[in-house]
Amino acid sequence: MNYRMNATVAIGRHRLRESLIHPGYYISLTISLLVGYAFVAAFVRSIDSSGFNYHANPLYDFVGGVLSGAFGSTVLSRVFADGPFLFAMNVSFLPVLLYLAMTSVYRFGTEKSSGAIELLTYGPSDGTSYFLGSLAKDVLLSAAALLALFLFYCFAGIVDNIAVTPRLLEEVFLLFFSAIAIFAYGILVSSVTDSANSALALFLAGFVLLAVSLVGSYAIVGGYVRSLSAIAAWIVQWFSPFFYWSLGTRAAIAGEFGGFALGIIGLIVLVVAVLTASHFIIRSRGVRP
Amino acid sequence: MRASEMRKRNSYRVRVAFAMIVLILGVGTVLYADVPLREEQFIYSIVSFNGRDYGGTFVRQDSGTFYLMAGTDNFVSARKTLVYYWPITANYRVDTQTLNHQFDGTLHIRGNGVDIRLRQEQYTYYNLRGTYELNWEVAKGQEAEKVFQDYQKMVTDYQNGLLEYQKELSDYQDSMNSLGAQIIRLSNQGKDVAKLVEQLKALKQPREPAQASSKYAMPPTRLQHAFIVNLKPGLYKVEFLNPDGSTMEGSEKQLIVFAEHAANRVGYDVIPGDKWTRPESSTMPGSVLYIDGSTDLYLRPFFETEYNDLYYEKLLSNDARGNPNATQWVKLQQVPAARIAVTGAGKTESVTEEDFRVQQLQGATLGYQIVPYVQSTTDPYAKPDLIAYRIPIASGETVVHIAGRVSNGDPLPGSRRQIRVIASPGPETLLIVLALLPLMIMAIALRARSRRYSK
Repeated sequence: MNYRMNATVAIGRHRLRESLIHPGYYISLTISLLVGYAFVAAFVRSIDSSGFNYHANPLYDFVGGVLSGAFGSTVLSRVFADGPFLFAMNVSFLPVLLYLAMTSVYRFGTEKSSGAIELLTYGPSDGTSYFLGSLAKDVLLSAAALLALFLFYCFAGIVDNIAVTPRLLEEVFLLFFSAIAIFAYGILVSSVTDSANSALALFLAGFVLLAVSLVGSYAIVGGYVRSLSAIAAWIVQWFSPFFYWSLGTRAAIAGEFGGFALGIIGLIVLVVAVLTASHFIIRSRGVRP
Repeated sequence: MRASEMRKRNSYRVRVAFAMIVLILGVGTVLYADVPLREEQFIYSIVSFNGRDYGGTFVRQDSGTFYLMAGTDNFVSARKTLVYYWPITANYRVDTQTLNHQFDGTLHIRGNGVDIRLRQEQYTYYNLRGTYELNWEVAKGQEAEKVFQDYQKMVTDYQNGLLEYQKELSDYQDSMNSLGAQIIRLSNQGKDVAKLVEQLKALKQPREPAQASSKYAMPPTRLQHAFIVNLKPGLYKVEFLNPDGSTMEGSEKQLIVFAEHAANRVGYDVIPGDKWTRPESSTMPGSVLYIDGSTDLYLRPFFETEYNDLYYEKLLSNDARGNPNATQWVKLQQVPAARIAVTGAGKTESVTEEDFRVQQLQGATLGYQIVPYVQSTTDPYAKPDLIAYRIPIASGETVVHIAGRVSNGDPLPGSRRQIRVIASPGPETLLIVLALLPLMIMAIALRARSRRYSK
């Protein structure tokens, strides 16, 4: 156990150093912050004497139109009940999240097919410590990105007199654990595929499928549907990080701490389950392509 | 000569036929567009409680589910009527004037630990006047008849009382006129009129009888028959059984009975001073209201309850659409005799409800201002334009906290809000610099890396 831990720390540290001397992470974080800035600046311009008028700014006119068209005005008013930060935090974290997850998946696949991981396993390491090291790097970098975004919004709140509420902090925690679950899924698809391209394609397909399933569950419907697809979507949701994220976010917006905690616990359980599955797959399949 | 005449006649016939075809097609098109296709259908007619009052909808043949609120009496009847789609309002309607046959039978409800067969009952519903004006009562069977008869008696008594009052009023006015005329005549003759004046003073003006409906905010509806459904939350199966016990074709539906997520919270109508005709709502408890601070705010607190968005929309109209995973706050009624505690700049003041008048601005400037209402001495029928709580947004005040209180000072649940003033965007260059900070760190990291390699 100890040797695996040492190997994980060593691999994680090495991967972290690599990421920090590479421009990719900085660029994705800058894009995230600029997206956040765009939403804050547009929000400030959408305020009139009666409150937040999303028609007053083209960006929010588009966002508001999409949200109220797809999910109804109730969802729109809830998302912006405290201001722009909740929505902006979720959207602006996406570039960093996708960058970290996709590069890790691709690299896992590349190193697997080139035999680099196999080489490591002849030393004081194994497949599990390799993916745990990679996960540790992603966790640390996503935590740093979330912290940077949170501080940025706090500063924007002071500058523009926008409220930073506990709901934003709760959202940061939810996003953090959701990100870990997504990274864990990245590891799982890398374990079951043989090439970098197929791993990336499978990861993106899964990501889109789970996201669409979540969007579908929030879409305005005309009736109480109990079709086969609805039942399938109901089953899929228990394996989806987006489901637990939405559970926690809904509870956070409603001020229900129990629901929020349930969302976090669900995400932790999901991470443990997916990583355990990845461990056994790697152990049985090995790290050769 | 004959052949050319024939040709002319034929050409004339062709033109007439063509004109007739165009005319028929044209008329046909117009008729087709104006008269929607009516289809004879079995429907459930629903009169349901929606948290505020009773409203009606119907469940057409294609709709598989209907929705009711838990723990309330709702009235369901099985009918045959004509259903049509009305494209102008994009919804289905019923033509009950042409066909409206109510079936006699049994409503069978099962599921969620329940298996009941309901018979139709006579009912009426009404709303009693009270502080909250949400005192809905339902009377069934014999009681319904009694309530309705009592109400009708009340109406008859009122009408009789009104006739009597008008007669007494006429007598009173005649006596007044006659005594007045006598007093003037006798006083002109220099005679003593003290007795007559006493008589005049002793005359009492008859009192108008109380309105028949003064007891009711909404009087009892006419007596009707329906299945009275009052269930706990859950999913049920419903079917209509004919008197012979067979199931009516097309009557099998799902019934979703739902309860509120949260009740008795407080929302606000937000009326900015410059847009008093377009109030906004703040329904989310604890939310933040952002304004530009250009004008004072006028608030009206109301009680609200939270329901599932899809279920509630479907309750109001079975053809409606909604979000099954979202909730909506439903405004019930204004909070009576409340106070709003306004905290800003370290001090708290209590704001009470006031009357206001909207005054058109003089001169070329279009607009108006809201000023305190003063009862007119010349116009006794004048009323205030706005009754609300004024929240002064003083210049320089950036954050104001508000909380509702009932008249004895107890807090109103879910009534806290923050009002934040965003007069203009802050120094945005600072934010842009902050957003570009990772690129600067990247430049430093890459520079350090290249230095290390060059060494």
